[in-house]
Parts: sequence; structure tokens; C-alpha cells
Amino acid sequence: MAFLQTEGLTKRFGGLIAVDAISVAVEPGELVGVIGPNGAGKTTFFSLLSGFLRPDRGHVMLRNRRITGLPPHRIADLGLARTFQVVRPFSNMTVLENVAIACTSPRARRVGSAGGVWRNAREILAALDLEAKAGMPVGTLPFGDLRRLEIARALATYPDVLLLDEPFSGLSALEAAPIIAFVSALARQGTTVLVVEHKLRELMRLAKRVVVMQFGQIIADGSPERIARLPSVVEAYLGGTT
Amino acid sequence: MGALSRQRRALLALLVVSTGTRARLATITLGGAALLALALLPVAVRDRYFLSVFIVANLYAAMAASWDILSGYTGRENFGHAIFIGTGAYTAALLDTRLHLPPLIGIPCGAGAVLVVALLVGVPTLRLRGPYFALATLAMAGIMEQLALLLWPLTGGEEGVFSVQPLSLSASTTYYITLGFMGTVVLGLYWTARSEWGMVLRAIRVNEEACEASGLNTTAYKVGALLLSAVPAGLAGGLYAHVQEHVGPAVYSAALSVTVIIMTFIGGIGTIYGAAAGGFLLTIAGEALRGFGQYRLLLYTAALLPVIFYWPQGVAVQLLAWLRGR
Repeated sequence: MAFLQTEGLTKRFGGLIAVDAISVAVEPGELVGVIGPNGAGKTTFFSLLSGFLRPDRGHVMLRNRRITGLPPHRIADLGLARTFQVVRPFSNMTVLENVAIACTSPRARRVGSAGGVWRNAREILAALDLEAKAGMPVGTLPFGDLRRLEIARALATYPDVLLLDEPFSGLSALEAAPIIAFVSALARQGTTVLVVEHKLRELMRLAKRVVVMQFGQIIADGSPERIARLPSVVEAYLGGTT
Repeated sequence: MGALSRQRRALLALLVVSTGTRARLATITLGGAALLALALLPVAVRDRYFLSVFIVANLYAAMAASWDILSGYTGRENFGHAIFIGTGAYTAALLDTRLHLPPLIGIPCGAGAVLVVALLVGVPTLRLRGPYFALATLAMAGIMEQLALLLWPLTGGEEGVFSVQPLSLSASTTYYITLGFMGTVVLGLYWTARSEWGMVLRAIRVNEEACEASGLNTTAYKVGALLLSAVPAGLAGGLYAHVQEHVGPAVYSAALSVTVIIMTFIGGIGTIYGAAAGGFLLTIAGEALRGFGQYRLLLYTAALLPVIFYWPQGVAVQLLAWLRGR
């Protein structure tokens, strides 16, 4: 049994099948890219994994444990964290407080260092190069920093599996570069990472394995080089957007 | 040795002041001064009527502060705070007049009843997104008010429960009891709001999904905040019954719920101390406007408009910012 695995995961919205019988297995430390045209079901798939949506059929296994139907905070407590495509920081707080919120979670108190909430929050900010801005109101941060802060918030639960929903959207290549480096390092240290991304250039540089979704199904799964050459992918993805 | 520790203390004080907690220090200093002034009030003023206004003001301040910890911090609007005030008041009054239990037992029993009612209203509705909690509190207050009328053999219907024994025959003793209660509630809630736990409440108001994704059980936080909100309100209701020596269906009225909300907005929502200040401000202003009788709520609402326009953060918060700026 793989580290993170789904079996026949299905979600309907009325007549629309957003996610259609997805079975996929991911090993520890793997860095998997999830691509597909708009409406392919990528974000829905993430919401099913993280407990924000309940599947109509199928289930999700994490470390041989069935997590289907658990509330999001329980899934985060078991070590699966996610970021959101639309970044909405805790706007009435400082950068440090934004991360400290997640550091007060039961899992962070268990898994994080003994230094406590505020020290852990500072360490995580430092890892994402946001340390110098710790005391600033979050509203003053530029968009690139907010994207990194969102990753910092997810990391503050000390996840084993990290789901990143379009972490580069709205960023220039220059702003994306340090995030790519950071996420690669994270995976090398053993964190399993799944990335939904529209920016193929960034994703191909980052992921060792790419899963292609269309109409809620997985139409291809393999190395970035192989995926880029598959005619069905070129037609579905590249053909669909240009 | 002594010099060293003094030096260290001075350094520490400097550190505290320089790391941005100056705002907090100003709040604490002003809050301490306000509490001290309130503590000395009966020494300075012997007038019974004057003290009775401040006795009620103490209770309103506690009610507003307790409304704030849930609604001001998590953003879940409670439109029926009177549910808790009224249940605390009726329970205390009935235990006193029917079973002749002392207030020291009756008032905490009222808080226990409030705890049960709060769980009944909160647990099913706070887990849902959307207006369900707000609607449930609104409806529940209406139901309780009707019950107080329908169960007239027990509650005295429109007339209410009479001859509740006073807390004390001395006005200044009564004043100090309510002041001690108000001070404990306001300081306790202020400390809670400032804690890591309170920080999560503020985060829930802004983005509940991100809190859940961070491994925080937001329903548990919200229900916890509701209990912290309801129990002091129930205690305040119980004290109110003994202070007024009478309880009527008005303690369940929408007018009372709205008054508490307006007090919080005028003083400063999401700060605890602002809500308490609003409680004092409007109780005293309301007393001054007593001649207007039925129109008092209208005047409160009218007072709210300029505050929302000119000091949307609240009068107490604005005042504090102004004092700090000088």
C-alpha cells in the first residue's frame, strides 16, 4: 500500500462529474505535478484529499489509514496540509501571527520543536525568507510574499504531505524561482508534495512525475519529458488553451 | 546584587516598551486607572441613586464584554444575548423566591442552566457556515420570551417574579459585588482574547477554512467562545435579578439583545475593554435620557450612526488612540 492513495475517488456537482473514479498512489518524498485544463477537476481533487469536500464514492488512504470523510482539521492533524489557490491571509494580523495561528494547532505542538509556538513560527518564516517581515501587518506584503506566507502557514502544521494549489499563479519567473527551490528541497527531505499548476514551465522544472487530468479523469501519468510528448496531452491541455 | 536586578528590570522594561507593546501598556494603564476610579466611587459619592446607576452599568459592561468575545472576535453574530441574560435572571429569581436558596447558590445555578441552553443553540448551528447561528439566537430569544409568558403560573407572566431578595441592603456592598464581578469578567475575557486561543478566534473571523486547513478544530473554538460568552451573561442576569429585586419578560426582549450589541459597537467591537466602556457610556447616557422613556432605544440607535460614520472602531478605541498619539 502506498503512502497516499486514492481508490475510485468520485465527486459530482449536480449533473457534472468533477472528479471521476480517480485512483492514484504517491510514495513518500515524491514530488508530483497535477496539470490539466480549466475545470479538469484539479482543485476539487485537492479538496477531496484534504477533507473540504466529501467524495460521493471511493476513498482516500494516508499511511494505510482511511481518511475519507474526516473533517479538514483532523486530516491536517494526521499530516496532510494544503494551500489555497486564492490567498486570503489573516488580514488583521502580523506576518508572524499568521504563521503562529497554525503553530497553535495540536499537531504543531506535538511535532514541532519544544521551543513553542512563537519560536516555531519564526523558524518557519526564516525558512521561507520572510523573517525580516515578521512584525509587519500582513496587508503590507507584496503578492509574492503572500504566496510564500501561504506555504509557511501550511508548513506550520509540520505536514508529511503538502498539497500546493497553484503556488506560482500571479508570480513572475523571478518570484517563482525561490519557491521552486524551496519546494524541491522540501521533497528531498522527505515531504510528499503535490502541486496543481497552470504554469507548465515552472512545473516541468519542479516535478519528477506529472499527472494530467481532463474531465475529472487521469489521462496520463509519467515523467515530465514523456508527458510533454504524448499527443493526447498536447491536444487536451495545450490544444485546449491556445 | 540589588543594582544589577534593578538594571535588568529597567532593561526589560525598555524591551517591553520598545517592541511594540506600548499600545498594550497604554491600554493596561488606562484600564487600571478606570478600575481604580470605579473602586473609589462609593467613597467619593454617597448618593444611593447615583450608585444604583453604576451598579447596573457594571452589569451591562459585563454583558457587552461577554457578547464581544464570541461575536466581536469570531464574527458569528449573536442576536439573542438576552437568551443567556434572561435564563440566568429567571433561574436565580425562581430559586430565590420558590426554593429560598441564597444568591450564592441561585446565581451559579442560573449560569449552569445557561450553559445547557448555550450548548443547545450553539452546537448544531456553529458548525455550519452561513447565518444559521445568528438566526437560531434570534429565534431562541423569541421562544424564551414567549415561554416566560406562557408559563405564567411559574414565571408570573407579564408581571414577572417579584420580591427577589437584594444582594445586600447596603448600596455600596452591592456596588462592590457587581464591580468585582465586572472586573473579573472584563479582565478574564481581555486576557483570553489576548492569548493564543483568542488569536485563533480572530483568525476564524477572517478565514475559517485556512484555520481548518491548519489543523484547528474551529467548531470547538467557536463553541468554547460561546460558553465563555454565555456564562458571564447568565451570571450578570442572575445578579441583575437580585439587584432589581424583580425579573420580567423584558430580560428576554430583543431590545435588550440589541442594546448589548449597540453598546459593543459604540465602545469598540473586538476589544473587550471597548465593549465594557460602551456598557458604562450607554447606561449612564440612558439614565440621563430617562425622561424619554420608550424612545431610549431610538436614541441609542441615533447615537450609533455618528459613531459608525466618524469612529467606526468605537469611541473607547478612538479615545485610546488619541491619548497615545499625544
